[in-house]
Amino acid sequence: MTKEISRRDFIKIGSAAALGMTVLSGCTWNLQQATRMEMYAQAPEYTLPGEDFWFATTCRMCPAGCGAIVRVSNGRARKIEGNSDHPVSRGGLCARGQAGLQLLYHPDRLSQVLVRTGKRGQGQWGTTDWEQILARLAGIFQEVDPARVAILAGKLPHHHAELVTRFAEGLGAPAPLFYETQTSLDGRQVLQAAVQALFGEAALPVFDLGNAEVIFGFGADFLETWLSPVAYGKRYGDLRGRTLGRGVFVAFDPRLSMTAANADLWTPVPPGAEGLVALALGKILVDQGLGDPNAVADLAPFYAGVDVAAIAQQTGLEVGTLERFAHLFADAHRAVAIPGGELTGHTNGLEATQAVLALNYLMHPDGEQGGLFLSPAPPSRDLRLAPTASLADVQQLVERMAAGEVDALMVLDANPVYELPTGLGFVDALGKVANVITFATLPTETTALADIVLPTHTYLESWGYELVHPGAESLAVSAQQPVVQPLYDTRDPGDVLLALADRLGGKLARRLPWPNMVTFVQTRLTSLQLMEGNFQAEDADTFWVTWLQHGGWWSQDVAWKRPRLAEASSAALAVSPPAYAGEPETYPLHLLPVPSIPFGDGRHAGLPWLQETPDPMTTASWDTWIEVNPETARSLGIQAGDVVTVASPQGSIQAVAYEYPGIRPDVVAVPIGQGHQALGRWAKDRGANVLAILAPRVAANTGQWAWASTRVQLVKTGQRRPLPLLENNVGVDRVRESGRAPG
Amino acid sequence: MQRPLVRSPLLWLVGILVSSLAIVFTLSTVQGQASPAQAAETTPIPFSHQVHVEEVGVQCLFCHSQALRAPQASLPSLQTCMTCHAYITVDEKAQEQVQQLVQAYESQARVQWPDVYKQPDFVFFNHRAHLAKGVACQTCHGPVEQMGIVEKRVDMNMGFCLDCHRNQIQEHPEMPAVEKDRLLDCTTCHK
Repeated sequence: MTKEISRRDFIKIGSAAALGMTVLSGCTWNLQQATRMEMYAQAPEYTLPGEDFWFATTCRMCPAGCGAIVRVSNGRARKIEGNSDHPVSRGGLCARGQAGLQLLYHPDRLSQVLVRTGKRGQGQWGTTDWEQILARLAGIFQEVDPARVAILAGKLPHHHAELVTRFAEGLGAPAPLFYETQTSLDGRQVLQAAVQALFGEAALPVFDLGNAEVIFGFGADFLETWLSPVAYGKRYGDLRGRTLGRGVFVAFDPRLSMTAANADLWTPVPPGAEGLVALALGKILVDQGLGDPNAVADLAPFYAGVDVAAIAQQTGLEVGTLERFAHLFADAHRAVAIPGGELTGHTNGLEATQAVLALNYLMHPDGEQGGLFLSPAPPSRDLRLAPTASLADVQQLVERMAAGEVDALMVLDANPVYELPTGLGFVDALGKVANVITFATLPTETTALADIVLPTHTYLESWGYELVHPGAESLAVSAQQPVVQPLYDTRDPGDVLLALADRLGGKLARRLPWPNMVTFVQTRLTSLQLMEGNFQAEDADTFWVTWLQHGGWWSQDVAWKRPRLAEASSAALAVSPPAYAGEPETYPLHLLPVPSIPFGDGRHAGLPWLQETPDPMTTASWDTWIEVNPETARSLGIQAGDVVTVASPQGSIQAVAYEYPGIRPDVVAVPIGQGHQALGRWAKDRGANVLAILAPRVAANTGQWAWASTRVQLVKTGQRRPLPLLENNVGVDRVRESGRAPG
Repeated sequence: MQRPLVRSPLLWLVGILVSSLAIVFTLSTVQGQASPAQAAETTPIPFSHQVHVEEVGVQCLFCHSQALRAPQASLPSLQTCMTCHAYITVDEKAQEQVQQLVQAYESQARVQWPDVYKQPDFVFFNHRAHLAKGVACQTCHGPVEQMGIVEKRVDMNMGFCLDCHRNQIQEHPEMPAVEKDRLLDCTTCHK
C-alpha cells in the first residue's frame, strides 16, 4: 500500500519539480534561437577573434604626454592603461587617460566635413567631401594675403605643432599661437620665464620629488592637473613609500586642494601671497646662514630689501612660524620647493615663481638628487619645442581680429569661444573674420561659429610623437600610433595640412614635403637612431617598428640638467602684492577657479565617465558648485544646496553652494569645466562656465593670464538644487535641522 | 474509502500543464534549432556550403580563417565574399542572392547569421587546439560540405566531446600522461 499523498503535497512536489526543471533548463538555456553572429563588412586589421592585441601609444588627454597601452579586441579599443616601461608615466594613467575610449566612441563625434549654409551661429550646415573642401581651402589660402592669416591652436602634441609652425612659415603667415587655458592654469610660460630669469635658459623646471625629504608646495596641485600629474604622483609615491622616512610635505595654498590634503601640514595663505612666503623663507635662510654657503653668497643681493616682519603681517603667518618653516627646509638633507600653477595665476606670478625657485637653489645649487632640475633640451632640430603663447598674445590677436586685420582664422585643438574670458571680446572679434576654419573631434562652442568644420581623428586613430616636456630624468620621445581604424570620415589635421601644401605648391610645399603623417614622423626620429636609448636598431625600418612597439624612445642616461645661476639673476627681487579685479567693498571674496581633475580646462566635459568621476575633495559630480567656508556661508545666510549667483565685474554665473571648511573665509572656489553649449549630449547645458566671468587681466611682465585674481560677490537666488554627492549628508542635515549644530 | 490523490480535476490539469511546459521548455532549449525550415527562415543570405565547397572547391579555412590561430573559427567578412563575387558571374538563379551580398557590402550592413553551434557560456572551446591536432571540421560539425543551409546535425553536448577525448586516450596509449590528464580535466574546457 503506497503512502497517500495529500493535495498539498502533490502541488508542492509538482510545482517544485516544474520549477526545478525550469530553473535547471535555464542553466542550459543558451538563447540559441535568439543569438546571432555578426560578420564584419570589412575585417579590421590585427584581429583574431577572442584574442586581444595591445598597442603602445601616447595619451593626449592633457599635455603631459604619458605613455599608454591600449587593449584592442575584434578591432575595437577596450581598455587604456599606462605603459609600465614609459619613464614619465611608469605604468600609471590618470582618470582622463582612461576615459580616452569615450572620446573615441563618443556618439556625438563629428563624422563629416561641415560647411556653413545659414548665418554664423544658426547651426545650419551642409556636408561635403574632403576633395572639395581641400580645393576650397586651397582657394582661400591662395586668395588671402598671408599676413592676414592667423592660426590659433591649443597646446598641440609636437608632431602637430611642428607641422602647423611649418605651415605658417611656408605660407608667410604670422607664427601660430599655441594657447589653451590649461597652459595658463599650469603657468608654463611663467615657469619658463622664471627659469630664464634665474638660470639663463627657457626650460621647464622639474622637481625630483622621489628623492626629496621635504617638499614645500606653493599653490602647487602637482598630484592633480599641474604639468605632469601622473609622473609627479608616481614620484610622490616613491617619497612616501620609502622605508626610512616618508618625508614631510607642507602645502601653502589658499584652498585645501587634493594635493594639499596629502600634505602633512596645510597652511592657508592668502591667494597671491605664496610668493611672499617663499621670499621671506629665503631671506631667513640667507640671514641665518642656512643653506649652501656659495648659493647664499650668490643670492644674498636677491633678498635685499625683504622685510620678513612685513611679510608676516601680509600673509597672516607669524615670524616665528616662518622661521620654523625655514629651519625645516634647511635641516632636510634634500628639500624641494614647488611653484605651482596657482602661483602663476596672479599678477605677481613671475616674481613669486622666481622666489620659490630660488629657495631650491639656496639649498642645492649643484642640482643633486632630490632637488630642482631643468627639463632636457630637445636632442635635435628635428624635434624642436613650440613656444607656448600667453593670454596677452591672444589678446593681441583678438585686437587684430576686431580691427579687421584677419581674413582667415584657423583654429586647431582649441575652443576659444568657451575658454577665453568673455571680457576679451573674442566672439565679437570673430564676426570680423571672413573665413573661420576649425578642426575638431566633437562639436564645440567655437565650431558652432565657424564657416568650415573639419572633423579630426582622435589620438587613438592617428600617428604622432611627443617630446615629453617636462620630462622625467630621461629624455623621452613618446610614440603615438593608431590602435583602431578611423571610425568615420575624419582626417588627421597633419594630413590635411600636408595635402594643402601639396596643392598650393611653392614655398609651402617645400616646408611640408611629406606625403603623409607616417613619413613625416619617421623623418623626425632619424637623429635618435644614433643615440643611446632603451633599444638599439640597425636600420630605420627596425627603429620605427621597435619605437612603436615600446611606445617611444628614451635615453639611458639621466638627461635633466642642473640649473646654473645666470649672471644677471642676483638683482634684488621684489614680490609685489597681487592686484585683483573688483573693488573689495562690492566684491568681497577672492574667486579661485579650480582646474578639475576630470575636465582640466573643460575640454573633456563631454565624456560621461569623467562627469561621473567625483571631485576628490567634495565628492560632487555632474554640476558646478561653489566651495564656501562655513563661517562665510553662515554670515551670508547661505546653506549647502542653495543656488547662488557668483558675480564678478565681468559677469555672473550660478552655482550650487557647498560648505567646505578647507578654504580660507575670504576665498571661494569654483571648478572649471561645465557650462558648455556643445561637446555633446552629456556636457550641454550643465552647470556653469566660471572661465567666462574671470577678468582678462594679465601680468605685465609675462603676459600671463592672472586667472586667480578676480574678486566676486555671492547673492542668494532663493532656489535650491541638490548637488550629486557621494558623501552622505543625511546625518549632517538632521543635526542641523534639530538645532544641535554648533555655531 | 481512500481519499483521492487530488480531488479537484482543475488541480490535476494545472499540475500536468506546468510539468509538460517545463519538459517542453527544457527539451526545446537543449535541442536548439532542429529543422532546416527554421534554419532557412533565419539565414539572412541563402549561402550554400554545398555549392561553395563541393562544387567550387573552397577550403574551410579560406573563409573561417582564424580557426587555426584562434579559439573561435570566425565568420568571413563580407570583404572575403567580395574577393570572388566582385568579379565572377554566377548562375541566373543565384544572381539575386549575390545581389543581396553586394548590397550588404556596399552599405556596410551588419549581416547577422543564426548561431547554429553555440555552446553555453561556461564552455570555452578552442578551435586552434583541435585543428592543430588534425581534427577535421566535419568530425564535429557534420558533413557541412553537403549542406545547403547549415543545419545542426550533431548534438554537441558534453558527452559527445568526452567520447572523442576518451577515444583519443584509448587509441593513443603512447600519449604523455600530462596530455591524457588534460583531455579529461574539467578546467580544460570549463576554465
